[in-house]
Amino acid sequence: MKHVTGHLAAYLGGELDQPTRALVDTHLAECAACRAELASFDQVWAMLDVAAAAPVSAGPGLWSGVRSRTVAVDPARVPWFFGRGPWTRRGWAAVAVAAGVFVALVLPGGTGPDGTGPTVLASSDSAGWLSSTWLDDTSNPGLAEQWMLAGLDSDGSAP
Amino acid sequence: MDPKLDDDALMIRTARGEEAAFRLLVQRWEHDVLAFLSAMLGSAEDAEDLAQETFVRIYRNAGNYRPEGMFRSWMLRIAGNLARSRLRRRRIIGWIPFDPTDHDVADQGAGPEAVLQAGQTSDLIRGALARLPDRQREALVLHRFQGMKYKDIATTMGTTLPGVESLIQRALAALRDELSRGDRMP
Repeated sequence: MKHVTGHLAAYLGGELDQPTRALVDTHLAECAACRAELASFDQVWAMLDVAAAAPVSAGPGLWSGVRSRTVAVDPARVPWFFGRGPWTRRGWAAVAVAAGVFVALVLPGGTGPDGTGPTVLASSDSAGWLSSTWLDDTSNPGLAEQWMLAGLDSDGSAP
Repeated sequence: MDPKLDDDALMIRTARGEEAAFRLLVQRWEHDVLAFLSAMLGSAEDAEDLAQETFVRIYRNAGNYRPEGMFRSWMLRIAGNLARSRLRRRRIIGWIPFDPTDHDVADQGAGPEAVLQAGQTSDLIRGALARLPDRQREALVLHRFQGMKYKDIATTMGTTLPGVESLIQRALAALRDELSRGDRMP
């Protein structure tokens, strides 16, 4: 029978269907070369398990970094003339800069525009309360889910 | 899990701008994303940087997300794309990809010798992983570090089942050869 080395990773990972697995088992019982190959793969497999078990922990900055770039940016408070798309904002920013240069050059004593980018404001109202309750509490992973479930209305809307 | 709090439900609520739903998603998945990126990149700092970027992209694309029960695959596809992009950039600038000091192997109830040995094994394997071709590494990490089945890896990586089997088979052989060369197999 043909060697089964091409199936050994899937064999170790439990990914072979039953007929293929039975064929591999039969071959392994007869073929010392494939058994040796399997044994060497098995050692790497065990080393991978050790490496995978090494803990990886999220630093406290992960959520605050994500939040500052997502939910803390309140699109409703971005002035309408900057639009919502990045190119719209960049376009209007360029127009504002050009207008500022024009004013500064043509109208002595004039002042330039005082803001050339979107106003990005952090919503501070709910954030402080949320983070003081469960958002930053990692000691009880189920707490957040319990809190949300308790607060859900019957129609599934948020508290 | 209560269906009101499954990933798809939380994504729908995230798309509506509900901070609590998004926070819960991040809390639920941050360790998986970090572990995946850490194994892909061999650098805790880069892993955290790209984990943040992954969640930012998830938030920004929440409106386009199709709730078909495939959130984890979708999330890891985003993380995988970012990781491969970062690895390509590193190669251009000749960055050395693996820093063993980044990987903290904590005492999990074992004695100090066992912890030391586990730490050395972990460093060895992560160093060898860093030298694998990106696609092979990604498939192997998804399988062994994330516990994903081949079918889900195929979805995540946009390839076929035989493609995944081939990637993981070649990755395992390459790791074995790499570790055997230095006589570092146990």
